[in-house]
Amino acid sequence: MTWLLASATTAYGRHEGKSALALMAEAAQAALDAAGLEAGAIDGLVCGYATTLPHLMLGNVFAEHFGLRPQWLQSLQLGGATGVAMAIAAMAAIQSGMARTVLVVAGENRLTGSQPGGATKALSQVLDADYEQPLGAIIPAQYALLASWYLAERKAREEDLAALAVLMRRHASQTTGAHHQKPLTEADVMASRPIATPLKLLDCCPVSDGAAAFILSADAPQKGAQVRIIGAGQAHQHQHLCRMPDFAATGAVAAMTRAMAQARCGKEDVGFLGIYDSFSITLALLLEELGFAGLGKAGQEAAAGRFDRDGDLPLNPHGGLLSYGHCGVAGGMAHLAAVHHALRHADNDRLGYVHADGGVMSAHAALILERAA
Amino acid sequence: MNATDADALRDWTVGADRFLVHRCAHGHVWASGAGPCPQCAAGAVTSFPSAGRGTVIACTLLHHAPDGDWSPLLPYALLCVRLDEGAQVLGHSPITHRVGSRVKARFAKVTHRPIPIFEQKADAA
Repeated sequence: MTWLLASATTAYGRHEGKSALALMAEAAQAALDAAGLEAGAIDGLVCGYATTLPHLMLGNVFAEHFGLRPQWLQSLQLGGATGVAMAIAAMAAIQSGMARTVLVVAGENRLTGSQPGGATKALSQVLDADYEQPLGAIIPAQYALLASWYLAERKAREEDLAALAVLMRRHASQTTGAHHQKPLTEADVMASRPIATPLKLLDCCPVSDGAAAFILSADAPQKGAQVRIIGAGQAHQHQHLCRMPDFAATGAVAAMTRAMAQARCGKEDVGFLGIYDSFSITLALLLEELGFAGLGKAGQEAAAGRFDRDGDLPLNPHGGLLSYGHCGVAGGMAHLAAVHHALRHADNDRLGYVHADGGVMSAHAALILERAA
Repeated sequence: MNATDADALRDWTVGADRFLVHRCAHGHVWASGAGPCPQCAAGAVTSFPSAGRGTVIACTLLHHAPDGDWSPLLPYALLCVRLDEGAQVLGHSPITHRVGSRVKARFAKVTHRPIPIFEQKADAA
């Protein structure tokens, strides 16, 4: 059994003068405090990467910085899927007996600590060096290509994508620590400047500073609602858009199916969603491929309130990457923290489903959370 | 044509003005290098040049460039095209194209080296 003892995020946004390590330590300490544990209780550590602190051994650097001496340590790099995949790695370590209580932590000062254009340049690594980069491509353009296909294939409108950004902003406006909280309308999104058509500025997540941490353990929490991870799955079918055979079957379903087989549950058991939303189109593609929204209907269903905090299927109640903010690996951890929080305070026993993608819908990682009766 | 020597395996990324399509024993096709099949890891059993005609699957007009080499060209388009030989490729265009349009590639230098540039072709069918 793997228990999610605690999850914590710093505020996302501008943390002038704070280093990646300082932000990671802040989140790690918040998670320890939430779990009621001392650092000495941690015997396993999983770190991500930080574009502002590229290092061959970030996990070891952080362990030393924070005063940990883990018996098991990993650093992972799967782009946007890293945060969820780190939790899966921690779960595997616990289940195999290599560690008992694992700290999962990532964070960086991507907004205030990057050279001008540095974040774009670092992220361009995920484009093919021979077949994509020489064409003047950037990450938003790859997602914009998917968006142009989506709008034509599924007969959706740009306003439908905007509705997803509006929903994320509405949730962020109710979340302490969110990077962007000023309410938005579809018209605001539509009027924002074009980045790569059909995507506009407000279809794209911001660049933020921040950090997040989880503590997973073989031991159940001593107090409060008990939440455990009951299923995990991954799928990796391509890296580059130029080798992505089917825009409608990216691997998302394969990852979810593996997680649900392990959890012995179905989509109908899920009541809370944490779905990666680097762009509005990312959210539309994942919701629809996974079957949580009808084809071409994600935006309309969002506008109708289905994914509201008090809707049928609350989605990214913190505001997602689009509005809570995106500080790299930790950006994709906040969804898990938000679903964890929602489960702990839910008045029903429905499951939480968390799904992240890295690259261009390339790396998929999925987790299923359950509150113990 | 069966590719039997290094020259026959050259595509636009190494100075030949063409896409090169590879097909594995399972019928998968790709035009992104002569390595193993991206879908099943099988080797290519045939490799042949594409005529450069295809249909637009996706198109975006960029208003933000990766670097100073590209920013003077803004806005410019990036296309994903299904070649008539079945492989999926990306290419450049100075203008945007509609999904479903027929296009044909030519190869020319835009910044530092020749790249595929797609043009609308009513007669590309």
